[in-house]
Amino acid sequence: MAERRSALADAVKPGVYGAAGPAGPGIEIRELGPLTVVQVAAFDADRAAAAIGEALGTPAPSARNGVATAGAAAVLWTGPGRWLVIEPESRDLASLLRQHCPSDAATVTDLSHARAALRVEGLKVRDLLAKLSILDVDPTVFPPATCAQTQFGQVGVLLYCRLHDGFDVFLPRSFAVSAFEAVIDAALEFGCRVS
Amino acid sequence: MTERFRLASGGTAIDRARPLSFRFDGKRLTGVAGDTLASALLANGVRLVGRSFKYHRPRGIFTAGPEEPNALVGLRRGDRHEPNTRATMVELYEGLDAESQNRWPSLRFDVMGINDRLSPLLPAGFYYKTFMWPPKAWLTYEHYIRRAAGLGTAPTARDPDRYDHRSAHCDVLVVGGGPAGLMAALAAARTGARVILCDERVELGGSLLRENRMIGEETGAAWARRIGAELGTLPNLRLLTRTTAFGLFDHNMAGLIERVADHVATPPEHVPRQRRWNVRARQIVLATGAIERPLIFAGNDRPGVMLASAARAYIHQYGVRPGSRAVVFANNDAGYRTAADLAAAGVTVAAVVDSRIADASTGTTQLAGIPVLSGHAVVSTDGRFGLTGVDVAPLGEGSAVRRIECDLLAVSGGLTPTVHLHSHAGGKLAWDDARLCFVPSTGRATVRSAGAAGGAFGLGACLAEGARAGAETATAVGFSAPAGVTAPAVTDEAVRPPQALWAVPARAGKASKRFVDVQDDVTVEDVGLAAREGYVSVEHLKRYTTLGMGTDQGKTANVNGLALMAQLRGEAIPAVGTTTFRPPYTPVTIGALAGREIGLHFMPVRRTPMHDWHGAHGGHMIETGLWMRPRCYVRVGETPDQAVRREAAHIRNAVGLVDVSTLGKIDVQGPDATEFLQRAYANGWANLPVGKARYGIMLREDGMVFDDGTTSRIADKRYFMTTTTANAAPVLMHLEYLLQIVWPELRVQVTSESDQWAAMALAGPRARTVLARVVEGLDVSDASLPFMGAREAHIAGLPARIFRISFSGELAYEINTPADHGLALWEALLAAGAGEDIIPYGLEAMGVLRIEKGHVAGPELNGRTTAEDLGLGRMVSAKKPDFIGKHLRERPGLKDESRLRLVGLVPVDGTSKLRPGAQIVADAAPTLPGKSLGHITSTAHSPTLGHSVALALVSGGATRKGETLYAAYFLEEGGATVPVRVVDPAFVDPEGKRLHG
Repeated sequence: MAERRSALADAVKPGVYGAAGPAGPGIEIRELGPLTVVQVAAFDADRAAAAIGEALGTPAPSARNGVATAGAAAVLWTGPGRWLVIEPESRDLASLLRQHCPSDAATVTDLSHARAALRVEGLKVRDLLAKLSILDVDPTVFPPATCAQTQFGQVGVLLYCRLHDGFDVFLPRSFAVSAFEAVIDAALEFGCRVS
Repeated sequence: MTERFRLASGGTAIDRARPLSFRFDGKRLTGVAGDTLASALLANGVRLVGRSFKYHRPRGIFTAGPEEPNALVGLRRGDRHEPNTRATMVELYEGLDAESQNRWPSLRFDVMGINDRLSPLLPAGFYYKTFMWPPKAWLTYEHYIRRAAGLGTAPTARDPDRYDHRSAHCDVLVVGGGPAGLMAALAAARTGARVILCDERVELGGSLLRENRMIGEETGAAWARRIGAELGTLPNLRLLTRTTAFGLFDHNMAGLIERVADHVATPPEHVPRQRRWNVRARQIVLATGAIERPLIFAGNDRPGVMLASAARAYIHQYGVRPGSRAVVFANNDAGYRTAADLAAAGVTVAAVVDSRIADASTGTTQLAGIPVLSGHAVVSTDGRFGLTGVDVAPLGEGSAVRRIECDLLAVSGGLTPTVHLHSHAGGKLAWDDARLCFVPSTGRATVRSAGAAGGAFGLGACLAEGARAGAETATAVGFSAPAGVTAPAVTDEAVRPPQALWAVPARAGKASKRFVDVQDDVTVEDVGLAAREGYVSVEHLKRYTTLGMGTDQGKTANVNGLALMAQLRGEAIPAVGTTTFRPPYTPVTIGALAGREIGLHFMPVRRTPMHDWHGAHGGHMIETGLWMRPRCYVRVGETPDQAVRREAAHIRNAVGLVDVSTLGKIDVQGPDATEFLQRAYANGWANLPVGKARYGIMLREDGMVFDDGTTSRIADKRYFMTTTTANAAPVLMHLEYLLQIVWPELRVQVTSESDQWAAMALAGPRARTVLARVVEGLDVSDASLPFMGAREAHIAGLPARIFRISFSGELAYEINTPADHGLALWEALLAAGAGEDIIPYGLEAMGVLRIEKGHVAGPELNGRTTAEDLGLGRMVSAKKPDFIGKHLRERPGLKDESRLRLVGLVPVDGTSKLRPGAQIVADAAPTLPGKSLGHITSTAHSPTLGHSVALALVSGGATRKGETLYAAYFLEEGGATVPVRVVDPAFVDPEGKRLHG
């Protein structure tokens, strides 16, 4: 498979930025990738969710903003009957899902190259997200194993809460550099290690 | 100078062990930690701190809080200078550098003080009445008038500090950390609700820090500190001090400004100076307290005249004696408390002047050793730069004036609840005739006022109301009422009713000013003038006199002003009403509103996968929407115009590659995809086979052309739609709307793939040769991949979709590859074309080529053109039963042959340049107003024809072919009129031989 060149290839420069105190940076950022990102959009949500389950071993979540994981894959609810399946690039995920999803139940669209992804972690990660978006990022409202779509400034983003202090941030590829710059700028006051 | 007015003990806010030095007008002074600039100035005996807005009268410190109208100073120097800061709210820090404003050459000797002497000539509206003629001269007058009036000077250099934003959500937002707010926050937080408590001062406590009150066995200040400490331990409560709630907006969004680093000279690196919080709260408790009103009498603006509440605050909060010998003047019981506190602080109280007449029913208050003058009023004051004495006389007829020496006059005209935020939320006010103030009445169900903000002025009532408000708001959003949060019992003394004394009558023969609004220099006489001239509505009064229009927004002035107007109109105060309270409650720095959305972060940039390559190879990048695209690639020794001509000519003769990744790309999938396209597009899609592309034209409901683009059938139930760059998002929204609202029964999903694919057009006579070299397993001959063919194949090992379509009119392939491979494919194609003299070309050459071909783009797809107008009428299906735009496009007006329709224009002389925007007219020498036949939309220098060509929308369109018309430039004086001939818009290769080649 041809090697991929991420949108952030030249933007991510490892180092420690901003006001890292004695306790170290409050934010850790690294780019994720290469990823496979496939959208399943259903006409029949129940059948599609079950089909995803057959393909991956875990049914797609039906709850709003729910996330199900199956091995390295995460299935993120992005709308009624609409999911993104995200995993490290390793197999032809789109074809696998297409095999299991009847075409009258759902469509399958490969969006792997349409997103750049950041793993953002650290004690200050929720403060950082509160600076970048208007979402309620309190752990009681946005707990692990949930996701949400919001905007960083003018850029639409998808947030996936993996851990209490750990989020994956999916950015539209064409906006990735601008959004990354905004994330780093917002993180300066907490101290930020980019690796 | 030593702090000779600092008391030996006391001061809830200050730390005497931490002295600080600062400068005022260059003079070195000292204060202590916890001081405000105002308290430090008073401690040093500095009483004159500024000059007034209009009359340049000497002014002092009038209040101890956010309502300060007088003591406005400039803070810091150079690019960190901040004008018009309230000395009462500025925290003292080491090295603070402040200067007085609106005076020249110095505060004590101010040339423009002459305005005060001239004041009989300068009534309200003077400037507008006097400087009206000649009309154009106002701009000149204004320059000087604004310099003479006004306050501080804004800095012009860029602010070096950071200002930041963040959002927060909570169940209960409590605004104000005084007794009511502390109890509300505690009661709400104990339920487990998420609570945010904000207070604009450094320390919680509000009036408890400013007054000498006990709560149980503790001082009020100690109680506040204890409760504050407890609140600090609650994980579900966020405490924001130094934070002002400046506005309350729709959906319970509160705007807060946190002064993160305003109390230091320079913020630490990476720390914002201020942070704006956008708080979304389910319930809001407004515990914003009340502001004391001044009394209005002659000379009530002199330095040394101070609100009684402020005099008490300087004693209790800062340990500062606000004067040496005081007179207290009040229309309510606050006068006696003030006199007692002043006396206890060692100030000689010469008299308490109570405007009310004591009688058996009201009783009297006796203070040891302090004379009380009931039924009296201060009728005038003396002292040039500071108060030296007051004249006191009985209210009413035949008054005998009594002179009292003093350097402090503490005044109280009663309390005004701070209802600003309640009003921002659309809440109404009701006049309370007993307490003489407006109190909140109806309002937003999720916003309530507690304590003095709601008109409950007693400490016991504040505590009880706060506790109730906190518990009830938390309960309202689903939390159980806490056990054991009861307000401490404090018995409020009975108060005698205040007297409505809106202005002490002027004494006959005395012309001294009685100020209603000290910040804007509005007097009782100005209000009278406004009434006589018919400006009797409070809104007109405000605009005519500028009453309440200063940086303080009339916090101490508005109620008095409207009460005076009510008197003049002979009506009750509620009949006159109040002016509108608008955000911000107190001034907000523009930087805090902008936050980090400045400079680089003002708006995001969209980058194609080949973005950096363009920049590294001479690409002149230009903005197209949020995208940056290469206009052209400039070679050494070449101008951009020359580069564009070179590139365009090269494509007609050899081959080039252009980045078209910005085009909108939409995946249209599902069992009903073909039917959906049939309905969404104006042309037909029923018979498009897999592996074929088709040009599509999309109309709006009103029959106008919405967008165009090529859509390919890549599988039986799957299409790949492209849109123009500008309409990528609008088309997707339109399709989503159709699927969700209009035809929910259609089983189709549309997904933006704009960012998924890098796209590039390989165009020119040698395009096939180049492609053949690197494509794998695909015959790209015309027979195998004809015009409008669509195939998937690998190119140089990269997956690709190849569409044989052409915007340039040349043999061309639009090649898409997943975006992370974009740069690799771009470079592979350039490498493969090296032997064929391939070049990269930019947006502008692409524009030249499409204009030569008569292809429409943004300038023609302007939302006012129909398919017929653009020469695309034959494409519109006559067979389809229905499609978007079908019915309204049949309107007679849209079928009118005289509509503006697309034509080509060439200069008759074969050399003149045609420019966009020219009007097309029938006369060689048009006169204005004349009749326009249309206008030029797009022009280019055609490298193929060697002269200028233009696309134009001209009345009658193609029926004028062969006619000579004139391109006129009416906006240019003496602009030349160019004779043009109407031709077919396809200037080059109208038969399409090249693209079918």
